[in-house]
Amino acid sequence: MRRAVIATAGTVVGLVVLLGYRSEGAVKGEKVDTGSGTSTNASTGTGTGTRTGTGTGTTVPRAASSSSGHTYTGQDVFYRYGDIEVAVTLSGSRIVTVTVPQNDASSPYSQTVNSAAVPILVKEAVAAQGVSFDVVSGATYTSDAFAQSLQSALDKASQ
Amino acid sequence: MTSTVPTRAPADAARRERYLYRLSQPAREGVVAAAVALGALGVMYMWWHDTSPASVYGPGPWLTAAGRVTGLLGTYLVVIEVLLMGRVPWLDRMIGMDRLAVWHRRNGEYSISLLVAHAVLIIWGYAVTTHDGLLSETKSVVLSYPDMLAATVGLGLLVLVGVLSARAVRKRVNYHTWYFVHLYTYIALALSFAHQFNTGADFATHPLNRVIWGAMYGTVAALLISYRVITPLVNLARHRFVVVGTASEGPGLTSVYVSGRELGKLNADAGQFFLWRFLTRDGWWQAHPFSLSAAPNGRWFRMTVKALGDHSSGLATLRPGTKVLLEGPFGNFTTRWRRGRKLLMIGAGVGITPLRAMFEEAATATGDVTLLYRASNADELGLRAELDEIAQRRGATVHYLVGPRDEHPDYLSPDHLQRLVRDVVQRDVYVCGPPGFTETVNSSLRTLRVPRRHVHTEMFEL
Repeated sequence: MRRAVIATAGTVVGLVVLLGYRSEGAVKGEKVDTGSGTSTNASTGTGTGTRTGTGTGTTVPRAASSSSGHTYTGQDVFYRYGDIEVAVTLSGSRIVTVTVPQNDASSPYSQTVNSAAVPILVKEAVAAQGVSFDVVSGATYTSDAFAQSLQSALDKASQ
Repeated sequence: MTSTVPTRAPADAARRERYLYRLSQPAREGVVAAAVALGALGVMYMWWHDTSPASVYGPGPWLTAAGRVTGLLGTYLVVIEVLLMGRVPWLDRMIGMDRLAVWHRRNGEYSISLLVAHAVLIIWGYAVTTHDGLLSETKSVVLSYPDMLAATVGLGLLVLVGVLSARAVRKRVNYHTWYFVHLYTYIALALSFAHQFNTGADFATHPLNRVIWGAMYGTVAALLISYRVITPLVNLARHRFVVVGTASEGPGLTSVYVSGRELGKLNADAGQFFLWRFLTRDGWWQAHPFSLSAAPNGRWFRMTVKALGDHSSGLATLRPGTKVLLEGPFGNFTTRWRRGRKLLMIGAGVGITPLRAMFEEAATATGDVTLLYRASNADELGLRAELDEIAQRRGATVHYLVGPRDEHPDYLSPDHLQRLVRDVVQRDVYVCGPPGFTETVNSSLRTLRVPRRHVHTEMFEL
């Protein structure tokens, strides 16, 4: 019993420390405002609108492109802080995988926001099996552009 | 080499052993534990490297991230878990099967708990992030993510294995059920494999991680197949183990003699044990660990058991000619690990069987060996006649400490041990018996300041 308590406590403390250290950057400098539901730049105001570069174009697929099913790539949607392109893999009419082949942001801050928001959007899209999911608070523009590109991919698929 | 005893002095063999094997038991366990911990650190680094700091924000992502770490760690430890019981010779040399079984129990509890936490945390994290209910989130995670249904079944099987192995439940389940349910672990490992690569954030887009993870599974699978399947079959073909006879050794004690070809090549030492699998219609599927109760002589192996379980009591009826699949030899409880020349052996109950073999071997080799044999009454002194004969022939000493425990609580006290064996501090001490007995003896030896490295114990609680 004592060993179980020690193991549990040790694991919990270890996890908290590990995650705490890993999330340090986000906490210190570029905290994403998850509660307000307003536009991201309102809360911190860094790098709004200025296009500083093309970004890294990180691909954040939720899952590996599945061997079964067909993949359709949506249109590259430009929005206020960058551009995003969504691809969807369907098995029948079911959405199996959603990937983001193109995800450029105009500022480091937007990149930060996107890298947090896009995985959530991908997951939501798979869960919702379509575009009827909530916008990620703090990443409204990205959410809209994501949904738009996803919709165009789904349109392609239904043709 | 047909006869192992006279031609192979354990001390010489020990000198030839590799450096690691010559460390003390705690040090050897430390080395293996450190290697496992290093692997765990590597697994955590994998997660660290793949996770962007920005993705760990707010309660949802925190929970999800915690779920990923517990999943990676739990999976790693489950793979270690099957390796611990993989009958890998170098693990046996480093730790010993008895300790490995203890590790297996603890690691099993821990790794399955981690994997349950993994499932709960991931679903909880997703639910928080998507503002969804726990139930509907569970449904969506299990049903709509690639390979998640199989993984869920796999986790269910693992939990079943864990529950059946919990002490309270294990006592009420027969060996047959427990054994076959344990095999589900392999099915669980197979079922849960695909979801890691197809849904797992650390593998879906990381080819290198896939290679590393796949190599880990592949290596362990290869070791298991090699040591659990191929080695025993090759040994069966090469040595053709066969029962040559059984003998009653007094009330409730039965010996089984097994012979075969070129037994000396197995390099068994007195004090070691084999897993014995008698290939009869009812018994072929179960392998039981029994110590050799006589020093290996190149012609036959002998085990002596008390008629306890169904399996043990059936041994008396084994017919000569029955084929046997022997796995082993296993165990660190040999004079190979001794530090000095003089030996003391202290045993009780079935613990006397390996000591009987070591006593014979040591008495033949050095002569300076003393055996203390504890029993509640004289009827329980199994193998007594043999011990007396060895002692007489080789000039070794045997003391029988007979009497009910409440009448003689001081038999195993430091004072009494000191009085019986004046130079106990200078001896290597081998202790084997029931857990309570072993604890008492070890505590007395500590009081007498016998160096820890000189005390060797075998835990008989597999």
